[in-house]
Amino acid sequence: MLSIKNISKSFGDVHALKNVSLDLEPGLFGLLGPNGAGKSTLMRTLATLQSPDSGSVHLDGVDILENPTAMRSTLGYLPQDFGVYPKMSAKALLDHIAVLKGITDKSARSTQIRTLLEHVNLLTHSSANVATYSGGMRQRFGVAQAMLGDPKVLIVDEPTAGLDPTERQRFLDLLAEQAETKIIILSTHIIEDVRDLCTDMAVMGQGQVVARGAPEMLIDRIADQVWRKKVNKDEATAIKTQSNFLSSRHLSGGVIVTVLSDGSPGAGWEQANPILEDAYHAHLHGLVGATRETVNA
Amino acid sequence: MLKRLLDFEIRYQARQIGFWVVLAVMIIVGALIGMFPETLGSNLSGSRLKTNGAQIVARGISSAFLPIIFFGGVFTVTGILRDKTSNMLEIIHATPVQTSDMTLARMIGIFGTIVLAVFVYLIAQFFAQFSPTLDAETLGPINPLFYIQPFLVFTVVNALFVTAFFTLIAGLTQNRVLVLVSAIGLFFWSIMTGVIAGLDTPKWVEAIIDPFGSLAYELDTDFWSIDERNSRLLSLTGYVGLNRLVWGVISLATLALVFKRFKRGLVTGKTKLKGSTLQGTGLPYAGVTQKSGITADIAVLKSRTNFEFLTTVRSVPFAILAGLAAALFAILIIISVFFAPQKLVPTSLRMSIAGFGSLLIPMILIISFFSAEINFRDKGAKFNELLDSTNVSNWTLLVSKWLALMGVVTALCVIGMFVGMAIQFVTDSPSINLSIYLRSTFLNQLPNYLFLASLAMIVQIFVPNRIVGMLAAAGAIVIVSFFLVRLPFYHPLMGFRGSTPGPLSEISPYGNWIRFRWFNFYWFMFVTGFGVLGVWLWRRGLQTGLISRIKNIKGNIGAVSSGVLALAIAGFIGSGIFIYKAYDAVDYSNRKENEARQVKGEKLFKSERDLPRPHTRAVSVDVQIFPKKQEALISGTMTLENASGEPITELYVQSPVGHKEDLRKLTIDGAIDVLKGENAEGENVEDINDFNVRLFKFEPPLQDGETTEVNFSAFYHAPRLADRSNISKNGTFLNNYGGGNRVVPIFGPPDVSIRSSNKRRKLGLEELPKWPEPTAEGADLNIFGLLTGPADMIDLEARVCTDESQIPIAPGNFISESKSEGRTCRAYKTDQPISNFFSMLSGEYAVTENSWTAPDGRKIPIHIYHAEQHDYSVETMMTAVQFSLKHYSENFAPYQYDYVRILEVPFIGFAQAYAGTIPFAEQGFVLDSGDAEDVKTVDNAMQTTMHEMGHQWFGHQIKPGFSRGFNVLSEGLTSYVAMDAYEAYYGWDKARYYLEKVTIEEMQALSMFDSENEVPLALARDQRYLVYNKADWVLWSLKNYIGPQNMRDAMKGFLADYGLKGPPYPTTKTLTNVLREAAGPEFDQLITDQWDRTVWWKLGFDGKGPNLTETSDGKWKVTFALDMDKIIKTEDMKQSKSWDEIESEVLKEPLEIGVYSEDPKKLWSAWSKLETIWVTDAKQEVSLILDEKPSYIAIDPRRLLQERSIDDNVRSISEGSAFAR
Repeated sequence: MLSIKNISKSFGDVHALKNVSLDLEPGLFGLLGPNGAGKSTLMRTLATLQSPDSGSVHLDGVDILENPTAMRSTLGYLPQDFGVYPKMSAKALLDHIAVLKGITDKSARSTQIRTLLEHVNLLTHSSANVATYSGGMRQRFGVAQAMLGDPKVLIVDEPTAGLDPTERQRFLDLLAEQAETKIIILSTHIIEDVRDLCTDMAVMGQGQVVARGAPEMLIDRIADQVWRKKVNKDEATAIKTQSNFLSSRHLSGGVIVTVLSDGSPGAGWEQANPILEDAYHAHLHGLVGATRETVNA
Repeated sequence: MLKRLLDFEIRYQARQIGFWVVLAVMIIVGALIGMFPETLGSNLSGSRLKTNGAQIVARGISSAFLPIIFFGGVFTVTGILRDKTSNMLEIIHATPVQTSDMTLARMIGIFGTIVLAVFVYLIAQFFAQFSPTLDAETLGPINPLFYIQPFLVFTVVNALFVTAFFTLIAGLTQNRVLVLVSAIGLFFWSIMTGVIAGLDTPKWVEAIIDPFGSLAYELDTDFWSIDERNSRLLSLTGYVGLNRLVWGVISLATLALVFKRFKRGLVTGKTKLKGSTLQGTGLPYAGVTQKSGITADIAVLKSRTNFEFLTTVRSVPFAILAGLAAALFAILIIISVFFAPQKLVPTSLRMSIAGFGSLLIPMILIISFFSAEINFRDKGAKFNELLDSTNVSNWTLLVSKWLALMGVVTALCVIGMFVGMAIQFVTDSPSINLSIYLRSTFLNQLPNYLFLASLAMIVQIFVPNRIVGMLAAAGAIVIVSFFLVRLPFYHPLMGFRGSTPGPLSEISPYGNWIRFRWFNFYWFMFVTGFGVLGVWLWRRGLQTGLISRIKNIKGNIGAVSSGVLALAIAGFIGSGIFIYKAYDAVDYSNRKENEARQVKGEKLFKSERDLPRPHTRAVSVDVQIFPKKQEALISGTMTLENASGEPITELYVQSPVGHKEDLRKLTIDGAIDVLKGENAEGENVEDINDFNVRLFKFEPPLQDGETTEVNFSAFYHAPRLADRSNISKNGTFLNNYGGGNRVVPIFGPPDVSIRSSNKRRKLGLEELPKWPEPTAEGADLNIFGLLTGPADMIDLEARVCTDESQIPIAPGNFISESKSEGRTCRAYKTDQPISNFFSMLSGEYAVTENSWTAPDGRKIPIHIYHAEQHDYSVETMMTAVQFSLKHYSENFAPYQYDYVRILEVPFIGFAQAYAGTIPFAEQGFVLDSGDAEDVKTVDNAMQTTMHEMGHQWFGHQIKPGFSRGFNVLSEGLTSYVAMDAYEAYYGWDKARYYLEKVTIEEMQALSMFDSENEVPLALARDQRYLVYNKADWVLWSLKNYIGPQNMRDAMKGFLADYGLKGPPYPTTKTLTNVLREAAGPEFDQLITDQWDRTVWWKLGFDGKGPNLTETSDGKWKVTFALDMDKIIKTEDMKQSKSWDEIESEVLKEPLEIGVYSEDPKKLWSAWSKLETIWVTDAKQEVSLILDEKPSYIAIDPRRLLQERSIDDNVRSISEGSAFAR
């Protein structure tokens, strides 16, 4: 189990993490939040790339801040942005990373690399210089390197960004297959990814976990409270200033606005079946009662 | 828009930390150079070359561009490549800003920043002259023009060039690393220009090859006197002007090209992906066991080291830098071995020395560059997050990076080694000696480079980024390699570097492994300690600032690393204590302590130096040399006679060996060894003993005419950690005057006084008393009395024993040889007295034998003892000996000994003449005499042998009397007679080339190293450029004026009067009287000018001409105006004046005019007419009537008057019109 207790991290005046606590079991854990919410800071902290100012992180009872090796020896990590050494093929670079991860058996290394290259559909370009890969190919390479070895914790930051629908699905399937035995932390902006895959998730906002639970549970919390209406631009502007505003999107010359309300907000509003996106906005904007207290307790 | 962009450029550059670092560095460098001007050469001339004088300031400004080469690269990366490096390219280049405005603003930004950097340097240098640390004597009057003029002359064009160069590279490559690499390439080029300048390159080529104008500046000022260097502003009509014009145009044209061709937007091409035939497994994903612990660490270390090393050596920067270093290595070998005036036999040792000699500066740059490059590689590639999230240990990452740099350094040394071998292989050279190459590479070069690489890596632990890392590493290496040793409190324990087992020789093995082991261990422990610190402070993750790393250090401290650190500290301290004690045991003193000791010694022995001393009359020694152990035991008896004219009560004796305990016996009959108490002056005897000097008191006093015997025994130790051995494994050379170890004791107190008048002034010491003035009557004491104690001539008996495989040699006639128990002993005895100046030698030699029969029928055997493989110069040496014996015997006096021996000696850089015995440096045996017919080559094997043979007459027959200028009678006359013999053997043209290329050029160069005031030749101290070079030149001059036979006759008479005779010994006054008599009164003034004053002539043509007309009788009349000046040092030698500024000075100078039908520079002796005219006016018209139509006129073609620059002494002529050449 990965246990995060009250970690905080500041960069100057910016509080990137505020008293964050999470307990994670094997399975796919989705982390949703807007830019600057602290997701990447949390990921990097868990990947032992930076230390929190306070708090603790334990993996199976071992304090990884004191003993980062405990995490690193079982970690697969795909950062949001990474580079590669120039003039190295995917195969050679994966082999190098495999050695760094402690895979000393050459034959096992070779087999796993071929398997992974096949799974991320890079086999035919495995001899090409990784530095010349397109963005999507490089992302797939990143996925492969993260899965080298036998990671028990897989931290993936925006893994499907830049992937086409086929590759995205291929990757999500791969993750889903591993979820039974691994703690997989999936940070993403793509709410569908979390909805489709994750059995547990959290929403982060302003350095804090503002909601935690299964996607269905978060959705249930706003059942019967979601209302939509097609309005013109001026009306939409006015609605956006309301405290119960959730989201809006342009559609066929009008704007579909969504609000959270116990009863009908008025004429023209239709009650809608809540989706995870509504739950995300509702929790992020603090519209769901006692959410923060519950989560952080 | 341009203005706004410019504003932005300035503000942007000013926001970069690098900008402020550069300004700070330039201010510091400017201040340091101003406060310690010796770095620019002012110390070479002591207080003569003023710290704030025109030349030192100008040199400072032109040399400021050495760091600017690198800073310019940094500014260009910031200015031109910032869009790309900061991933802003697509945004910035998509804006509507004009490309021309963008480009121009950036160029001006870089140019302005460079000018600003030089300006702050200049300001710092200016204000540094007010530093209280400066000796007031080294300062001249303050003149702001000395700063402003060179700033304008050098800075504008140089800044334009640097901007043009780097923007061109940046534009072409769009690659930050290659811009920085090109900075190193530019630096390489500036080294290369110096090398090219050393060749016989036309001066205009030399002037323009250096883009920064430094070489041109040296060309313009090369022949300036010290006074001119201090006060004269540079004229732009000379080589500097040409250089500025050429590089100004090139820079502007390049900038225009870059401006026109600057491309915006993405310039990278699309890369086609390479396919692969790798087969998949078809298996579902399954985990693979990850290991940790030492097995995994070792696998990682191996993989990472391979990766780091191969990535480095396969990179473009490595290919460029290694290529440049290898090219420099090859070019220096080729030039110095095959194309220098003195060609060398390309043996493996020669190749190694020449090649590796070129590698230090390139290696410092390469180490600095790659240390930062390797350290920041992961971050630069943005791979650090992936890497740092793995379980890899910090130590494996650090060690692999350190090993990779070591590998790079090793690879470069090996490349150099192979370059040398390849050149040796493809040229007509002796066979390759692999052992020499390997030893040279791996034991003499590599240890130091490995430690420098370690130092660079240590620096990387503390720096914030790659650029600062490069600059800091270079700075640290330069400080450690060049400046640390200059600290007054420097101790060898502070000298961070790799130690060698000793200098390399092809004939003798290394001599000091103990030093190699201890010092390398000591510094290895130091490096290991910092290595552990590097592991603890490793940049892991995203918080990589030094303070963050220090805060987090606790998490990285483990038991193993702590143990290693503890061992390293213990090893460092332990070996340090051991080394310290070893130095303490030999009374090591640092520069400051040494000066204090000298001051104390001077005071201690001041009055004792005037005490009467006995003369040595006979020496009998038994010399036991043990080459394998590098030890010797010498015992002997010396007979002393009191010839001082007064009783001797106290006698100071300088021990023959450097350590008290090694003097095993020292007794003087009739005298007691005073071990306690005071001497007659009240000085404590223990203090005297501290100077390795013993005090003996005669009771009763040794009366005038009485003799006594000295018995001594001394041990010469094997190499010690802090003290080398004077015994070589092969080729031992000991003498009775030099260094800490002598064959016999010296009688009289030592002279430990500080010689430098600058230093004396700084220490508040009074000026040293001048040596006696030379008098026509001569001096009572001869030169050897100064070196080895009073003696006239001595009898020497020597028994020298050594290992059976070696030959023991000493001056004197060979008496007998015996061999037993693996030892060879030879006895030598002089059958005629010799000077008190002798040597003992032992080596494993092949012997080349020949002889020469003297006019009286005596057969003189000649033996050349040399290493078997070193027979390259032996034939030349043999010829030189035979020719010298003939030439000197016929022209001067009979040869006084029954033998001539020349012996090859390793680890020395000279040849020295003892009685019939000449130890000769190993490198003298691998000289290529070149083509005898080629007048533009130098044959030093011939010349040096003739020189040392000349000493048998001038030095051993003529013994200079102890007075000012004494050494001219030894070295000066010998240089002259050697030139006379050289000319007689090779012809006049080859001798003139030697005079020009060696004597005069060396004189010019060495005069700048003289820290004392120049004096007239007749009063010269140990000023080599006077006693060797100037004496040679002025005697050549007189010989050519009055004819060689007249000079030879004069020398013959001189030898007849003073040769092989006791006191009085001749002085320079005696000599000049001889010369005056031989030359006659018309040359009296010339001899006075050349010997008793310091005079330089300036000769040239006045106006246009020469004009040529055909006369009515079919002859040719050439007319030209002569321009002559004569610059005379005033009597106090403090300033120079033109002859017409001195009252009562008249001009009556003999001047030769040569008429040629071909360019005289091809063959100076090919004149169709050579006429001596007497010049009585500064502007004098000259007319010559010639039978043949001339093409060239040369003023003073034989270089008989001392003139600094002869560039304008030759003009071509054509009928009816004339033009300047």
